[in-house]
Amino acid sequence: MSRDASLETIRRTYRKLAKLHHPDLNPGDAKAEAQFKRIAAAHQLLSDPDKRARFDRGEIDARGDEKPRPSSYRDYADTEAGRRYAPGGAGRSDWEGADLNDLFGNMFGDMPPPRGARRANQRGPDQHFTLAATFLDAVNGATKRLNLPDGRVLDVKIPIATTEGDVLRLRGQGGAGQVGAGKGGNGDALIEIHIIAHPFFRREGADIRFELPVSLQEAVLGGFIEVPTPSGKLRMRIPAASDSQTQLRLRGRGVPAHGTAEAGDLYAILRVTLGKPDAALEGFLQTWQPENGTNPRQAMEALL
Amino acid sequence: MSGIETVVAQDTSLNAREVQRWIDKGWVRPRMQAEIYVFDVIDIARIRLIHELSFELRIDELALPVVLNLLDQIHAHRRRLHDLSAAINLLASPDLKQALAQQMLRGQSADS
Repeated sequence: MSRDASLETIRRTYRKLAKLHHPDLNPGDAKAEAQFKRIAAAHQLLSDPDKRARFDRGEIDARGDEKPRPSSYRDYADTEAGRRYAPGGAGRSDWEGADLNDLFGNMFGDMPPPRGARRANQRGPDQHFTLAATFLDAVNGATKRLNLPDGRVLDVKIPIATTEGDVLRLRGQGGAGQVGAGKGGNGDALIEIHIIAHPFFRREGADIRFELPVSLQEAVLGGFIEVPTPSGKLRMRIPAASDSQTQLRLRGRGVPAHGTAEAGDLYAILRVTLGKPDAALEGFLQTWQPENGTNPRQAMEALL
Repeated sequence: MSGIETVVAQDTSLNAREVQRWIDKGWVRPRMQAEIYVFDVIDIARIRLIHELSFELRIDELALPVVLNLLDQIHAHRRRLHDLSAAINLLASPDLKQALAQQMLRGQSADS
């Protein structure tokens, strides 16, 4: 980094280095921890214009600025408390018979059940998955098949009007409960939906907006055109003399009605397209005397 | 009263809605007691970590669960290693411990 690096450069560099050396991302690595302390101190110093100037003049050195950090995640994660965030879900032992067999071979015969299993009646852990849904599936609802890492297949019903980050809960489809007195029950599968953006349609709450290209003829003369919409093809009337940016509303053609929510609207925003050069059009325009010739930049010029 | 407010009150950079969202996504898993979240020190440290990862290091929402999952796996492995070394310490004779250490060092040099 150069002496006159901007604040933004400093921040970016800090982020880049911190991602590599953050002690919670390098548990057990004392070198990363020391390195991170230096990075954080340097960032602290260079973000403060006063301190930076003093540093540049050699009045202070970088070390004086190291701050003690509050207790870190890694301090707890390696202890008993960390089992809460064990990959298989809380309450499970870190060890399974299979691990031990990996280490020691099958020489001891079947391993005793792991520690976590002693707690009878425990409900199975919730399991978290993500599912990518297309824009239209999220708007109109759909059933999607989700293949789980353990080989199971879940049919996930994506409800109408699902939004990014919504979490669907499938009861009893998570991790198996501990079969004690048989009351534990399975955990739930929690499925987080990510929506794949659509090239044309955009959602704003219950409404959907999109840009609708129209030809010069359609814009000037108006008429009926066929338009692909999220609910299929629709015939739509373009009023005569429709300018670019004209907004046409198709009532109730946005996100469909669901529950107590009414259907949203679909907004088409017109964009007049000229298409390829056309000799007849050019010839006409050269001799054309506009009936109401106004300056389209009038409003702009009035401001300057 | 959800219990989130107490956590948020201790650290002004946190916001309750954000923390609730992390809980909904399963990134933070406090205990539940009578419909109220109870945060242990590890939960609070994890909230602080997620906050740092997303706001200071700008790790985005899609990458964050990947990072957390890998981190959880590392810690599970580290807990296993601690268990294993505790078991060895408890059960192995001094001779066996030394032999194990030597074998591990040999394995390391064979790899590199």
